[in-house]
Amino acid sequence: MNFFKSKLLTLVLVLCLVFTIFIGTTSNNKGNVGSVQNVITSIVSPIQKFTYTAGQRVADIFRYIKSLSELKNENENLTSKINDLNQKLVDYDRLKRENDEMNKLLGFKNSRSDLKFVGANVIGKVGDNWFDAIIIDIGEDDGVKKGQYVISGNGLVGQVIETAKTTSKVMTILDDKINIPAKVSSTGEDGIVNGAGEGMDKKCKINYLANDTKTKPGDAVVTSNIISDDNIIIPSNILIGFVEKVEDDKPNLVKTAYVKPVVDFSTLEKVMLIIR
Amino acid sequence: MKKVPILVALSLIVVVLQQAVFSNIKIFGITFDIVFVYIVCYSLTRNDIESIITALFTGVIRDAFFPGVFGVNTIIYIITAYLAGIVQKKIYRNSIFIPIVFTMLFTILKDALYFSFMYLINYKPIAFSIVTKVILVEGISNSIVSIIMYKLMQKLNRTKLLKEEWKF
Repeated sequence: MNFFKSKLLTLVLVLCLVFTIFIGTTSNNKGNVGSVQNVITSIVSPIQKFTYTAGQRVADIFRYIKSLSELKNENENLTSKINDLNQKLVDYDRLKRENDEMNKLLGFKNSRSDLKFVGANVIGKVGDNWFDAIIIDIGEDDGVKKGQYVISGNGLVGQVIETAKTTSKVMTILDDKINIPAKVSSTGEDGIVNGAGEGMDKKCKINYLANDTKTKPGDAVVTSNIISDDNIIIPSNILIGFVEKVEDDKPNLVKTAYVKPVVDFSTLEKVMLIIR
Repeated sequence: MKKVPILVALSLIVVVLQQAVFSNIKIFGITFDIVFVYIVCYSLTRNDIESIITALFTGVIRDAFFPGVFGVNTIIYIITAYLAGIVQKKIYRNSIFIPIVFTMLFTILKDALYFSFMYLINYKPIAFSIVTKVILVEGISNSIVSIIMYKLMQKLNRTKLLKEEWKF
């Protein structure tokens, strides 16, 4: 022990050097994967899973208490929405019937039926205040590959960035390092979606829209399969969110639309991965 | 040597709690970091070699779950543990202002180090305005958490298993 005491500074500096080398080797495209990470994540993730679920239950209680005060307003809003939706439903039924007949005539298959999904539980959030990443409880053993899309019930959550044996890290669309090819549903314009904003109002944005774009607030933004990858499937038409406002991206002569995601990231528990 | 399993379990619990529960609690959109507070309070109350080993162990677990790069957390924790180890020999440990002030200072150091590492390896651009906001909010919330953590550490240190013997 005395040897360590006299050489403490040396020890600290050597450790710093070693880990700086680790940072250097992992910060390239290969990412934070390896046998050490595999062993640690395999051991820790079962405990993590239980704790996350328990934490969500406790949070649910607080959310319930908080929501009581908002119930009346919400009720009024919903009632008026239902009236709107009922009117739309009448149109929808008619259009759907027409569409079905047309599809049959053309011999179209439903494009979604060729996708396969696998379910997963969210077991934690990592990356401090610098990243927006979640851990899920399936990994390489279950056929997860880097780059696969992760969705929740109603929309896109993010993309797998690293896989271990039993867990994977998913970068969410709120992170500004993620680049998801997307298009504005109403105009068909292509762009790239990544995270925007900070603090409370984290959302995402779709970049590189044409300067004379016809995108307007309220438009839906969906994924597009404009790029292809041999290992994974890039699905199209998965809802990301709705446009909130369109802004000039001054020096670049393009426009950027800010998008409010449909997925609520604070209550995320179950997700689905799109596999081939 | 009986204290080793206890300290390992304690570090594991802190990391798991941070990743599963406390990362969901957001103050102005920014989470506090109980793992870091734990390292600071640990180093301020126990001896320096032990705290550097704990920092190494905790940092490696944290880094295994970190997206993108391996090692940033470990380096920051080790440097913090070493500096806090130097500080703790020169202070009156029973004052409550000790954890508050030093957690604040070390949080500023931590976020500055994070920012410089991310900048140097060019992994991800971070706007400077976000860094200042993170430092401000995280510094204050970490200091508040550190009051509870420090009291807990002091209580733990008085238990039979973890009590340090006086050496002359």
